[in-house]
Amino acid sequence: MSDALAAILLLGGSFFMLVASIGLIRLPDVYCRMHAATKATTFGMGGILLGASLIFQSTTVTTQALLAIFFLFLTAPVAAHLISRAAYKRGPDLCDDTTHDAYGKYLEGRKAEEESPQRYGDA
Amino acid sequence: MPLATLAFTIATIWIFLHGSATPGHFFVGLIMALLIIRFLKKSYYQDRAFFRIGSYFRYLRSFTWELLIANVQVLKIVLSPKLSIRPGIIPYKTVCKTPLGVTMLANSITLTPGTLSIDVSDDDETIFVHTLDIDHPDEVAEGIRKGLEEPIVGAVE
Amino acid sequence: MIALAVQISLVMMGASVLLAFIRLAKGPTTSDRVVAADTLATNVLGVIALFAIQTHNKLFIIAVLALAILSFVGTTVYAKFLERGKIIE
Repeated sequence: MSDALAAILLLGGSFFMLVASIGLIRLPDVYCRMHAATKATTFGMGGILLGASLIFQSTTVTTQALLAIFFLFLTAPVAAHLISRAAYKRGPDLCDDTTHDAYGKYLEGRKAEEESPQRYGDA
Repeated sequence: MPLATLAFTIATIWIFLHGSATPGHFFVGLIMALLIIRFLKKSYYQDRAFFRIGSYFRYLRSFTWELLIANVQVLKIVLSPKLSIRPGIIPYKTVCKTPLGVTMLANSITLTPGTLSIDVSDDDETIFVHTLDIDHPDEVAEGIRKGLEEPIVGAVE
Repeated sequence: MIALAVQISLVMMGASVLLAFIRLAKGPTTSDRVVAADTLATNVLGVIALFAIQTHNKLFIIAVLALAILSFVGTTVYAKFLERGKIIE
């Protein structure tokens, strides 16, 4: 029973990793690719590590696997956040289907505020 | 949580990592914990609300559910023969006040369906969210508010 | 049954590494390459975990934990580099 569950977890996990890579190839721009790369890889790694801890049946391995899963869930969004912000500031490169761009307006507004001489007037 | 509780938690994790629960190993774990706390005390964020365990579980439950939906949605979009996406960046006004709340909300947004947080404005009030498929920006914001922000506000604020 | 599942999973991971590598080589912008490299690192973590199961060697799981931390640091440094062009300010 636990073997069957472990096999399903392993297969499901690797399948989601494959989905992430297919998404990386198919989706049109960096941000969309990041959607696939962040969500599906974290989920897939979670499946694989849970499967491994079911197979080994040892406290040490389970703790390590749980710590690794916790760490991945903590770091994957932070990495995605850093990369997407850096990508946007380097040159937006949004794909042609994009409908809204609130962040661009915000950055423009902030730039205008920084350049206005008013800010240094009463220092 | 208080530093003493934190030290004992780290020592317990050390025991689990080591795999043998003897008093000697617990003592070694305690020394490790004290060293870690000694060097990282400045960046430790003291928070009283950590004891609201029930709200934490409510947040975890709704987060796990959103995570499952998110991955099924990515699967559908990526494997459908014809890509039909309308991506865009929308602002999201948050009611979270504490740094911990905003961080948790931004991280959870990234891992849940169709949304990815790109940046937080200087005053920590607006999160810029990249969305894969926008029908109505208001619906996306409503989904975040119901599914994530309310449990987080209940848990840490 | 586990052995067969591990074999199939390894094949899928191989295909996944290949696709991520294509994006790494092709990627029109540098940001695309960083995303591809991040995905590649996570894929390697998966391969190591599967390898641990195949060889019944528990030590590889520690390697997964350590590499997860290292790959996060690497991605962060790349993102910093993308944003400013210099890593240490």
